[in-house]
Amino acid sequence: MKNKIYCEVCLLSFIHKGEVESGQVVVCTICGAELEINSVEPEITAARLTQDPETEIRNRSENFARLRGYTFNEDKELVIEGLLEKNEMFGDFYCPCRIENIPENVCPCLPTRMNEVRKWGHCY
Amino acid sequence: MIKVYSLSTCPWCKKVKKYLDDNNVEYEVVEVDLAKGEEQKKALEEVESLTGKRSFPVTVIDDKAISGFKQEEIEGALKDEK
Repeated sequence: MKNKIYCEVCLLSFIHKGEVESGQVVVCTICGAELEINSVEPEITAARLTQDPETEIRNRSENFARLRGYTFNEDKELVIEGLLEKNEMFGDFYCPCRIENIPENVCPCLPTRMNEVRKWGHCY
Repeated sequence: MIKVYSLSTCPWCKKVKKYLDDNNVEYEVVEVDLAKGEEQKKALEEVESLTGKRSFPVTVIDDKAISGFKQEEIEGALKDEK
């Protein structure tokens, strides 16, 4: 049983295997965001799970790393700190190393979701 | 005169500023993400003219613009500073 679920963080639909019920928490397989299932009928809808910002971005980055087989380097804490500052000042987890606060730069940013990490050896 | 174009949230910018602080180097810092309107526009134009792109940090020592946290390059430029 495969379900297509729209993720409002990376603005794409991902495939979730197995039954889902409302209230259940699922992880977007594209960006690692944790989503809560709102409704199952007529179609599945999900929304960002409300969590405190630090838990949310730590879980999301750890989910994403696990899904992609990436590991964290020694700058992890500084990047998490920067993401929390961006969230506080600009309202979402925009890449702390970029000035443009646009959807593509919501962490994990579009290039990182598109595997640019393979080329650069690290995220932006 | 040393000028650092920085983003207040960027880890590499924090490392450049910390390196300069640890070495008691006087410098002017422009937190481009916190600058407003005209000031931000001007700073972005300066960064783009110095490096050809909009990435941070940019450390300007005399006429040398160093992009990113490159400790050896910064150290070298500091020594050659007039």
